[in-house]
Amino acid sequence: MTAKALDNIDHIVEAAQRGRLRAQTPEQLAVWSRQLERMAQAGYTPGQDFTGMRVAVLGSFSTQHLSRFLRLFLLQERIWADVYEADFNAIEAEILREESHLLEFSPDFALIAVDHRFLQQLPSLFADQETVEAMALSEKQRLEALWETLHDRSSCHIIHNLYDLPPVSAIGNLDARLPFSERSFIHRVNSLLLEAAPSYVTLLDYDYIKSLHGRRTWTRPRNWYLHREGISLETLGSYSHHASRVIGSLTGRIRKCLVLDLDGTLWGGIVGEDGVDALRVDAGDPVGEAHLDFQQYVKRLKSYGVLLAVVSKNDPDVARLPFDQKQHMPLRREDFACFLANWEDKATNIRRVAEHLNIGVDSIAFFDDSPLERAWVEKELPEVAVVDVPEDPSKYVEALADSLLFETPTITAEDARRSEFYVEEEARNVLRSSLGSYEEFLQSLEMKVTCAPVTAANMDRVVQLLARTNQFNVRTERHTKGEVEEIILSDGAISMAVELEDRFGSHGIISAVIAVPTGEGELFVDSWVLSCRAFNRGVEEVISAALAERALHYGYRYIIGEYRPTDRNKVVAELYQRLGYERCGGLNDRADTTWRFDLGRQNVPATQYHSVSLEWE
Amino acid sequence: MHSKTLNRLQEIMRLVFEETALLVTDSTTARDVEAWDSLANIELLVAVERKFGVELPLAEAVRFEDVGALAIWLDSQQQSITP
Repeated sequence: MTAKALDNIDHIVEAAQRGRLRAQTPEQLAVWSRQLERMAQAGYTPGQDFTGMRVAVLGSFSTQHLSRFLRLFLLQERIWADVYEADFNAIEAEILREESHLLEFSPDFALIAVDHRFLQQLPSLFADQETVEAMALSEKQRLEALWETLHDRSSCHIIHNLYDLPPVSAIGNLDARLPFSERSFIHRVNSLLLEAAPSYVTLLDYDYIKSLHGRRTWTRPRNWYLHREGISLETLGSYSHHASRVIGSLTGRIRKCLVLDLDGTLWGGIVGEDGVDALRVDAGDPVGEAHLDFQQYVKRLKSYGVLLAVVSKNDPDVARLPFDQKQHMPLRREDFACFLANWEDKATNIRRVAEHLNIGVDSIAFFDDSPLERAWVEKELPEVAVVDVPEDPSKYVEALADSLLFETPTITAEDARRSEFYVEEEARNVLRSSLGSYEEFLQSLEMKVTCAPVTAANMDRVVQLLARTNQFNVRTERHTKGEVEEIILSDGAISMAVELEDRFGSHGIISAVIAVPTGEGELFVDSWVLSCRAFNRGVEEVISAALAERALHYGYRYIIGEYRPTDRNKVVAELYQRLGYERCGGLNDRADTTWRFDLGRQNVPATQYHSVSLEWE
Repeated sequence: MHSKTLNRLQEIMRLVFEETALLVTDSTTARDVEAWDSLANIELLVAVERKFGVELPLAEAVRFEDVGALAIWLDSQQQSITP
């Protein structure tokens, strides 16, 4: 590995991290992905802050370029992928054979890249409803068998293409109406797959991704004949981007907050110079409508759990005016969890936003129409995802949507209320400052904690907490939904989803604990996360007590806790000590610490400020 | 025109094959360039089509014996484009 080669790779890694891959020509991406593969084969690994992952790629069309592109695009997620490429069109063989290279490889993720050609059969002309349905069920069962076998043998998470519609029809518009047509059949199969997909399978909306580019551009018949192409080199970047974003979103690469500029972004014009009345943000004005639609899209993001913030170079009074005077705008002042209008530089302000919202700077995405501001933030805060904003506001929505920055495996009730929490928090802060001692404050909150087992009903939120929580996270195990399901169903496992409520409102589920037996009467805490919105409320003591009560009930003698330090979770370095656990074991290379609570001899501290409800059965 | 086309092809091939000093002539074939494997061939086709603004029909895509033949075909397309 020459210095030049390493330099070159650094350049590629940086381009990936800055979100520049999609702007490259297909040939350039091909060259970079080949260079990356060469380096991987030579034993190269990027820096410490990359997570290693094993990704298998199986396809019913050629996957050679896809395997390379996937490794490249996963750099965007700070994932360094060891990629296994299955033999061409050997999906069933690789999965169903007793021994195969795929199983030896033991993937963390398997991408099954198929298209409509993978269907085993199609209904014949005039086939009746029953026959069509039976055939669709049979296709569903075929895939279910593949998924189950693959998952049983490797515990991997599967990403699988839903069937795309065929690019041509022999019967034109009638195709959509005939129940036995190929198109109708594929819709039916996809519906069944969506209903049946287990939690360890993520179905990619392949037809939708294709349609963003156009079926005729996605691939050409010529290229199937030449080299069994399913995805053209020109659109492979887009597919790889989608697949890698799905993998990223399943492993905790989540952007929690969208920071927005005001002038030129949420409206046309500059409020400080043009005055509110001259702003372009009214229906009937084409430019105004573009900005209104952008606001509407951003508002939708908020309803799905994205926090919104404003960072604008303006007088704070002036910045408020459009929100006060143009009430028809979709976005209102209250929609923003943080609103900073001043004359300081935007990087400093973005850091403030992160601090105020108690999130990492790497959880932030930034949308600003000014190329200068974007370049500044990119330079000063490389961890912020800066959207490449086009000059034309009519393209804002697509630019933000295509960035896939807010791709998420699930949405929960907590997501819909996330922004409201910050409003309620203001009320709590007012109460806090009106009281003398912190203990008085805790008492007056009238907190209620509910501990219940993890079930299908709260599973999504639990998995979300495991993925998103960085600070109060003792072992930073980013379990997928499939993994959590398996663990909680295993013998002797104890799991808890914890809800917190107080007189100002409900926080929803703010903590999760997963513990498993490790022999000799020991219960090992595999995961314990607590959302930062429940910090400093004494909740961890309540949870510890509930866990101890449950463990005793099941006949355990000890609870073992492990702390694995990261640069984000120092807040729990002394957690187990505070809860009365005793240090056991020595230090290993990573300075992990192990702690033990003797249920027979030690007493769990009583809780003072909370009414506790334990809902075990 | 033919030598201009050859030069443009050389530029494209230098990028795709990652050989900055590659010299391309009419008789150059895949056998002469180590990096010119089937994957690189796909990339070459994509780059050539985009940069020349053409689309190779299936029969032409399978046919080319050497770079010279490709250049001749490209020239024939350019002639029908430029008035």
